[in-house]
Amino acid sequence: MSSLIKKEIREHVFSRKGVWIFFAISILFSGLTYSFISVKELSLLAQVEVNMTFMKALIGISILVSIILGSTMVSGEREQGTLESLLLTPLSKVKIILSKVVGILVFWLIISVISIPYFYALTYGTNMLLTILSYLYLIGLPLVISFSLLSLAFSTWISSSKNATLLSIVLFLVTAIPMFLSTTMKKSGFAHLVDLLSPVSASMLTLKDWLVNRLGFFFIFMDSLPVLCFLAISIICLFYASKKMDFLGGE
Amino acid sequence: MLKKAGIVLAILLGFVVTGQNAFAMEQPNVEVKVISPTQVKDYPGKETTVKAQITNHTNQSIKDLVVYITMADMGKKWTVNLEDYSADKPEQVKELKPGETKEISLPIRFVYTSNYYLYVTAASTHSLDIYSSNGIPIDIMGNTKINPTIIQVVSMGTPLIVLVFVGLNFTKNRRKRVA
Repeated sequence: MSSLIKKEIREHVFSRKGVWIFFAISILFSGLTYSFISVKELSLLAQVEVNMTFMKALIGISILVSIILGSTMVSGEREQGTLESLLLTPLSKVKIILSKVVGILVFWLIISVISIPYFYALTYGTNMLLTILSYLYLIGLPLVISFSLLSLAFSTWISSSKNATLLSIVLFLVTAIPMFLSTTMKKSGFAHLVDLLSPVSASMLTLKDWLVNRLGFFFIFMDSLPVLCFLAISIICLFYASKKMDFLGGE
Repeated sequence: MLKKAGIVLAILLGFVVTGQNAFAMEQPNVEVKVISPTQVKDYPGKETTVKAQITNHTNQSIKDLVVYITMADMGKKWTVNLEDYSADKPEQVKELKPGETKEISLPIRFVYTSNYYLYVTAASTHSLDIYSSNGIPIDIMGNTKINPTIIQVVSMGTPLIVLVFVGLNFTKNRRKRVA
């Protein structure tokens, strides 16, 4: 299994495409960070708001990158005709899928490491860095992994990479709808329902209650419950999807 | 004597009439009053609920009242986009009976550093009269300790470090391919 994990990391993390993605992300982070001191509107924000904005951007980018990566992993192997050789190895289907999950996890961990200097700069002079990093790894990680697992499941169910990617992005956009809506719109109808159930909304609420309102563990835990439920659902979906991982024309 | 008495009476009547007018001016048809908070002095991100009392002093029901928060940025002499403060949703009062008082709760989250006057306004669809409460002072203090030099160093340094890794990875892969 370790050789399969190494292969996934080599193919996705340390490939030419992978490292250029890291570079593009660092440029994006730099632009955003620099705008906090150069754009008048953003420079008026308090330090806690600045960090919240950066965290939202980081989580959004991480989810997008990881779902694109996840949704092409199995269907990509199928399209290239390499899935057969994988399935013929003595490894179980679950282990094959797990090695792909580790690949995505390593990819995300590198993105999170790239973000640390930016968080250091943005939390400078305060004691927020530890809280920010705790949030990133306790709430951000499950959220990103949940979306990755679901996109991997789609990639296993749907034979086309394009369709799997599209479906994953649509799912992300639907759950992220409340972030683009005004307070008024969020309080009624479909948007209200999505806001209540969305793991993305829940993660943002957790961030606010943790950083700004400084609520206790119980409230933070309750806020993050949809994220944890979403993770559990994603794990179950992927587990069932891994059993459906087959050759192109069936076994 | 009679003339003097007439003048005195006229003055007294004048007091009564102007007094009534002044009273009438102090007592609007609809009174809006902010109950809490009386002032806010905090850092950005502070969330609070403004509680206001709205009273109908007329002898007729007032229907379809819309009650909302208004803020003026006194520091920058700007108007305020209440959507940024999550305070753009008004509360609706379907009917306010004669002499009735209703309490309204309006949430707000202060985002930008400045000095504001916050007040609550009520408007009815059946009248062009607008009623506002007195303002309460809001002082949102800046607490940013962001060092622009560190931001510049990190913004330029991090992509360069990543670029070095990109170069190293590229060289390593090329060597492997050649070998």
